[in-house]
Order: sequence, then structure tokens, then C-alpha cells
Amino acid sequence: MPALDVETVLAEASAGFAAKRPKTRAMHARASEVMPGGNTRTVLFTAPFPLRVEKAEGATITDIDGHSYLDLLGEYSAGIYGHSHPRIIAAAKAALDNGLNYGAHHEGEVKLAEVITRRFNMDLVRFTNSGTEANMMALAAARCFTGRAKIMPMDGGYHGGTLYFSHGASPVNAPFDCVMGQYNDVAATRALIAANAADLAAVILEPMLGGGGGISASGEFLTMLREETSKRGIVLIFDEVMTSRLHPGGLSAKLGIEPDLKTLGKYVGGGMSFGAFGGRRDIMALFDPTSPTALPHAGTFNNNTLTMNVGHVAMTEIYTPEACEALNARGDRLRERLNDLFMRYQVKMKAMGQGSMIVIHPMAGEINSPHDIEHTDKRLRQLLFLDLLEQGIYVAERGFMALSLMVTDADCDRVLGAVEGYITRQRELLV
Amino acid sequence: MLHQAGNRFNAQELWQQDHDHVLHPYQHFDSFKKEGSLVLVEGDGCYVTDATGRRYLDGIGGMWCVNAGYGRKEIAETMAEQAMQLCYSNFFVDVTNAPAARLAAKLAELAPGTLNHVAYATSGSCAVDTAIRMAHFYHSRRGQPSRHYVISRKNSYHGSTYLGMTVGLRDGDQSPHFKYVPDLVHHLSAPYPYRRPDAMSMEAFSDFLVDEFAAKIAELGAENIACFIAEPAQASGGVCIPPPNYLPRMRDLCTKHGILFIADEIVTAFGRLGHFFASEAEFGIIPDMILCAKGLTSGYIPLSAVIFSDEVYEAISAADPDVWFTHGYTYSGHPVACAVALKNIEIIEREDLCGNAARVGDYLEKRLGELRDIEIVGDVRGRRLMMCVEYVKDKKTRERLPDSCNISKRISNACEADGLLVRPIGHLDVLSPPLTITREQVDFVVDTLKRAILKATAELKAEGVI
Ligand SMILES: Cc1ncc(COP(=O)(O)O)c(C=O)c1O
Ligand SMILES: Cc1ncc(COP(=O)(O)O)c(C=O)c1O
Repeated sequence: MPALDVETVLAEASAGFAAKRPKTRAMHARASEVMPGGNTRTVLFTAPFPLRVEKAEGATITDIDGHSYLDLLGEYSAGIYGHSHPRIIAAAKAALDNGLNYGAHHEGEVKLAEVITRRFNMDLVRFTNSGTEANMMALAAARCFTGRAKIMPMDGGYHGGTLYFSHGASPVNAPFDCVMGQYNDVAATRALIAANAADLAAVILEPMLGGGGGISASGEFLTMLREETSKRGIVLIFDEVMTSRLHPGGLSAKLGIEPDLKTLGKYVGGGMSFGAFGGRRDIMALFDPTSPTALPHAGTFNNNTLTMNVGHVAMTEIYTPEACEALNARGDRLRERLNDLFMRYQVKMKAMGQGSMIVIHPMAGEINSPHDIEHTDKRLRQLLFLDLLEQGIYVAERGFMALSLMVTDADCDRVLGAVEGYITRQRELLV
Repeated sequence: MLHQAGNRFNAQELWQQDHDHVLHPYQHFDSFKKEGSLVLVEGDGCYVTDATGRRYLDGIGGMWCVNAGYGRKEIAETMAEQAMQLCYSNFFVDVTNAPAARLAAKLAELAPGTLNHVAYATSGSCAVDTAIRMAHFYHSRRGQPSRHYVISRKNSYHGSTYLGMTVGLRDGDQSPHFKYVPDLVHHLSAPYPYRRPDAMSMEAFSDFLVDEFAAKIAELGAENIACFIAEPAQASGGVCIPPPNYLPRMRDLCTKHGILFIADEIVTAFGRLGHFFASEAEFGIIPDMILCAKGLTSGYIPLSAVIFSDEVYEAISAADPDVWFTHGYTYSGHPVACAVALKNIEIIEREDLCGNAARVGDYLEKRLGELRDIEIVGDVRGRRLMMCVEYVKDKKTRERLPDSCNISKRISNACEADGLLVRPIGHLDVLSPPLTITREQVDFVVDTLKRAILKATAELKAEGVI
């Protein structure tokens, strides 16, 4: 039997995917006429052409060729309620019944702000339409508050389309003057902060890299950041757009390390577009319009009635602290069992992340920073993605999964079976 | 080596051939005809892989035997070299070979007390036969030919020959469809602390067992008893660690009455409890004979040995021109098997596998202890890398679950589905992994077993059994 190589196996999987999806292929051609590459959100694009979904229910999505999948991508962590949670649908309907977008203050935003500030330990909060916007505003607030210009993101960090720091700054980034911190490298980052202290307005990072691979910041690293920034009057910002779902009070509460500002997004709006930033009263007060020097913060949809009302129901009735703990426990179990599976087969695979967020990497060994996963074989990520699709399971191509509340233990068993099937079929490529 | 068992083997064909042509040890015909066998094709470290490519952590260590772990290239190479050099030598009367001579010297060095002599056999069962024949021979040579009774215990397993099955007596082993050697073996109570009478202290239980032996000696007459045979820790009869002091007191009775003490260490020797031999190191006794097999070669090739004392040797070898020890097998002292045993011992020493078994075994004991809280777990017991979980319907009364629940098999099947092999025996699941097992692997074993037990518990509830 000829030795199998990744290229051949991947080409076969790719061809198999295409052959079974004639309508998807045709729709992709049509889309390409009107959108660059037929796509309007880069991360969703996968070769040879992306999945195109027709409808979704619970934890199941169905593509336009009629294939159904267990959805484990979970809208990159925003889809925590599944696709048709009856309480969400009722809340949206109730909100619509009261009229869409008033162009005025209303009670909904107060109720949501009350819940969020309490739950995530913020003095004051402001809403935006996306996580990106929340981070842009938080950084702007820090710069105005400190009167300094520079910011320190982490090398490999992601805080939105205009705040993407893999291999330096993305060309479409907002033109901040950046000093790049090194995730989990205590000594190097401490030195950088010291060297730039006079100019640094903010340090921004996710306490666990979400989209960046499920890599957790060490306690030592975060403690150092907290100490150095406090000492030097630098604003510490935790991007909890993804990680806030990992604990009832967010990941910072779990870790017991409080930043000056936090940003939120994703699931908090109940599945509607959402973002928020908040934290220390003295910093957030910069936006108080009653002050003569108030900073402006604009946004047509900042307090749109749909997000405010549905978000409130979602956070008080659905993603309660108990539900949060149960979901994360389920995710922990699944991750442990995946890692047991990889250990048992001694394959170069590793499941990272925390709680309900899991990232499978096609490599073995320690993963402490984005550098450690830089050279993993992209083709093996694609292969796992296509193989799981073939078995009716949808994860992000980069191996990312975010369990929704609709995912059951039986679904987790199914995922384990599918991953084991993949390993037994392709073990030669994975050891 | 590339691992692609799933592509190299025709799983269905192998299954069918086995199904159509093989009679397995302890085959249960009704289920075998329906389900056939799990076809294993590869092993490495603590893992085995089946013909479809599924891998399992082998929590059974083959059959309590793959102590050094699977896939040891050194051992395979030793086998090949010895087979090329001398694949077989006659071993009868006065011919020997290098590995057999060296191994005997090595075993004499490792064994306790004056156990300096070795008779080889090929299986544990044959070692048991050899030992009992030797006990009869010994007494007869000392002028006491009436000493023929063998004292054994309930719940013991001493192999599957005609004699072995007569000596052992586990629940359900002695099928009415077989015959057994008459008027030879007397069985005492099992040193099974978990099922000792209610409210009896361990000390009292020990007294009871020892008194029972004393009474049996009085009943039969010491002059009619040849030997007492015992696994220091009963293995397949329930993984029972005897009450403290029990074995030394039994040893004393044997000494007092001229009864040979045969320690069946086929499971406990070669590291499973953290020592080369458990008799002295773990239980404080020096037997007259120690039987070993299994871990002696880590299961790479069949070999067993009866290691016996200077005193026994002196008696059986006392001058007499007409006496021959008319016992032995074609494959006694097989050079390839003995070479493997030597290499295996070298590995166990070099890698301090006894030390690993002690350290990781203690961790396994501790982690398995967590299962005690589960409703259907009556007992978790054993020592180090020889452990079991006993299931019950009622923790208080220790009442067993109905046999129809097939509880241990149900749980082992669930483990198997999650990539772990454990051994179901009656109402127990038994663990005896390779000595190379790591703490991380122990975590996997315990977590997986725990999940399977919880699943079974939920099922039994749904079925209204508990
Ligand atoms: C950590 C983090 N920050 C910010 C964002 C940007 O959020 P949005 O896509 O809502 O702009 C994301 C989205 O993936 C994120 O994962
Ligand atoms: C304690 C004990 N004695 C004897 C034997 C018999 O060994 P074999 O199966 O090699 O004949 C066994 C096998 O399981 C055993 O556990």
C-alpha cells in the first residue's frame, strides 16, 4: 500500500466535499459576482468553497444541499443559545411588538446595563454594536484618560477586524502606535512595559486567547501585568468578548484579577449584534455628556431595542450563573476526553481552551503562546474540518468550537466518536 | 513504525476465522456465537490496537502479564537472536543451555530466603502441577509417602489443567460438565475481608481463618498433608489482600506441621505490587516454593518457573542410585523463553519498573478510591497495580446485583467504547495495567471507569433494578 500523504488525502476530501454540494458550489459562483470571493466575513471562508446554510434549529444547521450538521462552531462563541431558543424568539417578538428603535433612551438599556455591571463587576458600562467597536472605544478611552498615545496589544492577539496583531499589525488595522507584548512571556513583557511606561496608555489582551487558539494566560503573567500597569498608571484592558462566558463573572472573576476596563460582545446580546465596554468609574465618566469636557461616543444602534431587551432576557433567564457553570463543566469534560483520546492514540493533536470553548490543534507538546502554534500544518486543520463535516459535525476550520446550550452529552459522545473515527482513518498522518 | 492497523488488516475476515474455528479459554458459547471476539493486532506501551484501528489503553496488561509493556524492540531482538543462535535445546537429564542456566542463577538471586533452585515449565498451570508433584516427591523421599493432601482456599485460581482446576475453586469455575481429581484437595475459606461475616473485626477474621486451618490439620492429620498452596493476594478470585498477619500465621502452622508452603506468585511477582516477589517484601513470609509465570517474560513468550528452597532440594536430591525426578516438559528451559525472561528482568531493573509500579500504583489506589462514593460500588481494593472494583446492589448489606444485570461486563463494554480495557470477573472489574503506566494514564483509566460506572448506575435506575 503506498504511503498516504497529506496533499493526496486532503485533495480527496476536498473533492468529496465539492461533489456532494452542487447547489452550494453554484451559489458560491453567484455570490462571487457581487462580493469579493463571494464572501462578506473573511473567517467564514473555507476552501474549496464555503458551506452555505439554509436553516438552523437548536444545535443543528442544514446547508442548501440538504446536509445537516451538529453546530459546534457556535457562531464563534456568540451562538450560546443555539439557533431557535424559544425564550429568545419570544423576547425578540415582544421587543418588536413594542416598536423598533426609538431614537431615544428607554428602560431596556437600563435593565441590561444593570445586569451586566453587576455580573461582570463594572462601575459603568457603555454599549456598542460589536466587540471590535467596544475595543476601539476602550482603547480610545484609555488614551484620553492617560493622555498617552501608545498601546500594548499582545503579539498574536485579536480584538476585532481593525485590531488584529498576528505578525505585527494587520494592514486594515486602525493606525495605533503599538508596542507588542509577548503573551505569557513575563520577563520580556515586563521589560517592554518599563521601557515604554511614559508613553503607554493601555495594555490590552484576552485572559485566554479565544480565536487565537484557546491559549490561557498564566496567573503569573496576568499578575505581572496587573502590578506593572497599576504602578505606572497604564490602563489594563481585558477583552472578554469571548472569555466572559467561561465563568458567571467572566474569566477575570474566575482568575481573581480585575482589569481597569473590560470589553464584552458576542453572546451577551442574546444573539443580536452586541458590544460593550466598561469598568472603572473615573475612566468611564469621561463619556458623561453632562461634563463640559465629555468625550463623544456615537452609534445609531448602540441602544437598539432588540439587543437591549433580548440581551436582558438572555442574561437573566437563560445564561444564568448555574447554566454557565453547567455548560463549562460539559466543555471541560469533552476537552479532557478529547485529550485522553489523543493520548491513547499518541497522535499529534491537542485540545486547548477552557470550559465550553475548545480548540483542537494538530500538534503535541506545550502550547503557551501564539508562537507555539505558528508552524502547525494548516492542511491537517483543513482535513479535520472536512472529515468532521463529512461526519455531520461543523467546527471552525481552525479547530475552534464553542458549545451552545443546545449541545447535549450525547452530542459530545458523538463528537468523540467522530474524532476517533478521523484518527483511526488518518492515524498515519497524525503520529 | 507507521500505525495503520485499520488499513492493514481485514477486520471482518479475522473475526470470521476466529468465530468459525477457535475455542477460547472460558468461552461462553451463547454470546460468542453472536458477538465473536475483539481482534487485537498491535500493541505499544500500555496500548493495544484492534483490527479496525481502534486503540485501547490495556488496563488488564494482557492477562496481568505484559508488565514491561507492549512493543519492546529489545525483547523482540533478543528473541530473534536467540532463535538464530540456538532455537531449542534438549533439557532432559543432563543437557542445558546458556539462557536457562543464567536465568536460574538470576532467579535464585532475586528470590527470598534459600529459594535457590529452579524447575522450568511453560505456563502457570504447569508450574502448579510441577510444584504439587514436587511436594509429593519431597515428602515421599523423606519417608512420608502418606502426605498427599493439598490444602487450598476458596476463591483461588491455580490454572486450568485437570490438577489446577481441582486445586483452585472460584465461584462458577468448577463446571458440573467436567471431572476433578478426587480425594486430593481441601479448600479453606477465602481471606476475603470485604465479605467477612458482619461485625467481625479484621483480627477476629484472621483468627477465624488460621483456626480453620489448624482444625483442618487436626482433622486430616498433618502426616497426610503435603502442602498448602496460596496466592499471597488472591488475584482472579477477587483481588483480595488478606488480613494483616494472616499469611505469617499460616506460614507458621505449615512450618510447625511439616507442610510445604507454596506461594503462587504467578500474578504478584515481577513488579505488580512494587517488588520482584511479594511474599517477603509485601507480606513478610518466605515460602518453600514460589511459582511464577506471566510477568517473568512480560507475556512475550510462555515461560514459568518453580523456585524452591535448598531444604527441598536437599531432600529430593538425597543420594539414591534408583531415583529419578520423572517430571518435565519438552519445553522446560526453552532457550528463547529464558533469554526473553533475562532481557525482561534487565528492563525491569534498568527502568526501575518496580519503583514505578509502587509510585504510580499508590496513585492508582488513591484515585480509584474516589469511586467508593458511587452508589453501586461496594468496594475498591487491591494493591498498587493489582486493583479491582466490586459492584453491589446495596452498599450496607453488600447484596450483589442480580447476575442478569451482567454488571461488570456492562461496565467493561462501556469502558471499551471509550478506549479502555478492564477485565470483568463476576461482580468485579479488574485492573492490572503494564508497570510502565503513567499518572496521566491512571487519570484516564479512573475517569473513564468512573464515567462507565455512573452510566451503568443511571441505567440500572432506569431499569428499576436499584
Ligand atoms: C476576543 C475578541 N475581541 C473582539 C472581537 C470582535 O468582535 P466583533 O466581531 O463583534 O466585532 C472578537 C470576535 O471574534 C473576539 O473574539
Ligand atoms: C494465580 C494464578 N495461578 C496460576 C495461573 C495459571 O497460569 P496459566 O494460565 O499460565 O496456566 C494463573 C493465571 O491466570 C493465576 O492467576
